[in-house]
Amino acid sequence: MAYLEIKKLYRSFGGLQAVFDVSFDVEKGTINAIIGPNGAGKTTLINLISGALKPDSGEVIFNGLHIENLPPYSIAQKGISRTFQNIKLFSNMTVLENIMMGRHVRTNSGFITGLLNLPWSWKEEDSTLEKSRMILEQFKLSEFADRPADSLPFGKQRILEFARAMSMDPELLILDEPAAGLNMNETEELAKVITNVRNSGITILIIEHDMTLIMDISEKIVVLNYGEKIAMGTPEEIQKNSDVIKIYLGDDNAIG
Amino acid sequence: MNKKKYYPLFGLMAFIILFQLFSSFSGKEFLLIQLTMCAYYSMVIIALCTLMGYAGQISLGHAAFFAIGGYTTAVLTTLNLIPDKDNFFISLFNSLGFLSLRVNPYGIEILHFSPWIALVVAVVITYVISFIIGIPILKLKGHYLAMATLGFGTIIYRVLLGGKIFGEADGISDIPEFNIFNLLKINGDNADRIENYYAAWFIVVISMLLLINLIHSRVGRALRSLHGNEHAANSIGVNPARYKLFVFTLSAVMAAVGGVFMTHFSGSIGPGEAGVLKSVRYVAIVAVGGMANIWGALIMGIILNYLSLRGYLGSYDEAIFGVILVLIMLFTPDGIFKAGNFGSIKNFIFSKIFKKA
Ligand SMILES: Nc1ncnc2c1ncn2[C@@H]1O[C@H](COP(=O)(O)OP(=O)(O)OP(=O)(O)O)[C@@H](O)[C@H]1O
Ligand SMILES: [Mg+2]
Repeated sequence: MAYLEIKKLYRSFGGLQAVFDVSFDVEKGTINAIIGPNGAGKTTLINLISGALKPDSGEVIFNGLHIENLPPYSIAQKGISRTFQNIKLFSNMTVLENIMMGRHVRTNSGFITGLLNLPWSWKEEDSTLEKSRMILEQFKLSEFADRPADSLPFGKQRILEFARAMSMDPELLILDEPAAGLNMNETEELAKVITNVRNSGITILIIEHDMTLIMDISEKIVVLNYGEKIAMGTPEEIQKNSDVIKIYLGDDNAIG
Repeated sequence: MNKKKYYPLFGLMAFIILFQLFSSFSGKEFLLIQLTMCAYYSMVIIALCTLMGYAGQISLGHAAFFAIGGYTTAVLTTLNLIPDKDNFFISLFNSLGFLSLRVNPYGIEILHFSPWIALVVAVVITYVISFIIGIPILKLKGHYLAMATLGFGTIIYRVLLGGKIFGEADGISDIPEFNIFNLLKINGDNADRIENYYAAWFIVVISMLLLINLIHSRVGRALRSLHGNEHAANSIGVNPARYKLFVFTLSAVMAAVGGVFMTHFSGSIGPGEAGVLKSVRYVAIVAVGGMANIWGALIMGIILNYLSLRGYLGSYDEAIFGVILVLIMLFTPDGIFKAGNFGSIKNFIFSKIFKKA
């Protein structure tokens, strides 16, 4: 049994089949890419996995558990974290507080503890703070710690969202176009960070249009077109696949 | 643990004491009466600020919760149980010490629920009502939530206005004092006004302490994250329905507690307390105080309510709060519903400064 199993997922919007009969497996500790033209259903697919959308039918099995009908917050509690294609930060909070939110599922202080500021929450708060500062350091965001999240330049906002997803110590990390809007240096840096994350044992599912990045880092690639999986394999296999070449032919996103 | 968050509380306490000393020495002790009322209205304001400014959930029905608290205690402490005193339950309550006996100004003996019991019942009733209406309406967002809470407020207002047991348009008067362990008495007696003043502010200080704790806790962060981006909060492990329901019921109960004590202080309550105009006033005060700023809300609440209660706003009283609301709507692009407007202005200025640097 695979670590993450996607089985015959379907999802439509009105008459539009956004995800159609998609199945694939993800092995633990690997980098897995989902590629395909605009509107292929990539974001919809990861929304189905992270619980943001419910499938019309099909199964998502994570660590042997059915998660296809769970709400996003309980999927997060199972150790799956994600970023968004259109960045979703807590704009009313500082950079540091955004990161601290990543610790939510790893901490326990509840309503009464909060109201009364009970002593046993102090240690937890301290460790939340400590861990968050470490993450900031790691992602080179320390200098921005006390700034409002949405005052950061765009590239930094993407990195902050990544850092927030990492601060929850996820088992599975889902990234939706993490390189979009980043410059070349930032993208190279990102590739290193993603590889490091994988090397630390975290499984990664990534959507990206930057083919150089995808071919460099991924172990397995799933290609979607009009909601259907049209190919799956290693970067070498995908680059040789005639169906894939046909889709990308004439498209700006030439493979290579 | 960071203790800085408590510093303003000392400022508040200093102000409370100084104001009392000033008023006593200058022979203007009557000013304490309005400031005592301000304290009880502040309960609604800080509760609403937590709900609206921090958790991002608007309520245009908070006056109703204040009134539910006030009317619960008003009914329970004025309903004469003498005719039913041999009823099994009444005698049981009596033997449990839930009831007290007094003689009203007309010399009639009244056996009624003691204010302590009334307070507990008011809290429970408010909790249950806010819980039950919270489940469906907190699924709504922005102005839909505003409309739903407005509707709720209107229903409560009409029920109080039309209910015989609630005294219809006259409301309920002749409400007895609330005696706290014989230390503090909450009543309308001029002789006790200093005591009343301190009792009221003691309750506010305790409530502020609780809310400051909450805001700076893990739960407080989760509430603010809902305000910032509910999708992101959900996908990072915050159960939106659960947290919203918690903050909604908490703020409803806090408003109701304000209503309970206010009613014992003024000795009467009328349906106007539940009115939409009151709710609008509370929202306007929170907005003008800076939305996600509980101290701003408290300070603006004290100032504006004080001016209003002293009559400085004259016959334009209600209109002024309407104007405040309109101005906020105009000058913050998304209206007050998608709060954080004040935050975005700050961010705008921030980004300008940092770009230059
Ligand atoms: N909430 C929605 N309601 C209606 N249609 C939707 C919704 N979400 C996605 N779609 C449609 O489903 C299709 C797949 O969209 P999706 O966002 O999954 O594509 P994508 O592969 O992520 O594209 P891109 O590369 O542009 O991000 C598109 O045609 C899109 O318009
Ligand atoms: Mg997409």
